[in-house]
Amino acid sequence: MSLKYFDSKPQNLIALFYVFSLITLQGFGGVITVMQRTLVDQRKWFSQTEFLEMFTLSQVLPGPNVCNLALMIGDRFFGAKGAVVAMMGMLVLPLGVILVLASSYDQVAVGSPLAGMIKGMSVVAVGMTLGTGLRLLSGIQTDIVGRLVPMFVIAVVLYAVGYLRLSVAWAVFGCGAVSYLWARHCLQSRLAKRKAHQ
Amino acid sequence: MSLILWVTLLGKFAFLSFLAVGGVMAVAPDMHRVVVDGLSLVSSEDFLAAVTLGKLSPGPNALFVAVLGYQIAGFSGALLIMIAMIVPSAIFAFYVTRWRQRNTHRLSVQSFAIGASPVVVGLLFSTAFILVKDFSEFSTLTCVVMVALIVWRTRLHLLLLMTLGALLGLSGLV
Repeated sequence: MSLKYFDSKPQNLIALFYVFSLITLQGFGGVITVMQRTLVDQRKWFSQTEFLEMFTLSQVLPGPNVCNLALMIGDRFFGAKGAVVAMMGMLVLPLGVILVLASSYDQVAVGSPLAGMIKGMSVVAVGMTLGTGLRLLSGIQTDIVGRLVPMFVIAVVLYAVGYLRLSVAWAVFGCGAVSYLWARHCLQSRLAKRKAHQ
Repeated sequence: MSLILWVTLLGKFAFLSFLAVGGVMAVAPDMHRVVVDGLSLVSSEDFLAAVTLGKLSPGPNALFVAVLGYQIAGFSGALLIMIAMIVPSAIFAFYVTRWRQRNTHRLSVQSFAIGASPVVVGLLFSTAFILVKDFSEFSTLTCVVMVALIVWRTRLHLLLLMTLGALLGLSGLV
């Protein structure tokens, strides 16, 4: 049963739509957790580093991150068609769900069993987000940039966005610039070393 | 609703989608300004309800925008506002992705991929940290930490975790 999960690429557009629909329908409060699990750990479409690379770009681009990420993945396998299908997979079914909920939302009273369930699920969702962050740590290419600078960048982002509540754009462009320059420096000195060896 | 109002609303949402770096929730305050304060299309309570629903239902959080559209003009409103919110930024994302694919050999592209990843991991931690501050009870915090450790270290099925969370919430333990 679990063996059939080890496909390293989707066979066709229908399979792509199906996989993204499954991912999105399991994503309560954090689609990225499910996406990482499904695409990296189970289906092995990508390595942890490849996935983190795409996720990084999708975060920096404007618009819904996970939809951008789906778009990139779809495009990689099937071009523009795949991009559209993957995005539709992410959106169509949950759109139906949320609209049904929206038309019956008034029935969720505070203190009702349903409200309790919802609270419990949102607690789990927070834990999942934290867990995904921890998991993606291993995708950072410490062999190139070391550990110290990435750790420092993570700490500053957490302080600025999580604690001081500065805008995400600030963190992306401010901390991103520092981290980018450091990565550039490391790559350059690597190249120089390689040339010196030759 | 008049045509001009629609064009204004959809135009503003399409514009906001370009500012939504780090996800649609990042521009939620600006959306509030547009639909609640500016155009008076929904009440502040309805807006909050939409955000809550977006968090609770499966799928991208951005879907809360569809609830806003639904509150304004039913199902067609939901569809229109989703299209305005997603299509322009998706087209942009598509071309940037294509450009990057063709330029992976460039030093700048490689540095970006490696350099920006700690920022993104930091953002995930920040999201969790901001949400965790809403919880005060010890049992709730323990639950968050347990779930994080399980997701980090094991491959336990996520739906199982969600079900457990629902049961704990139902019994009033968290």
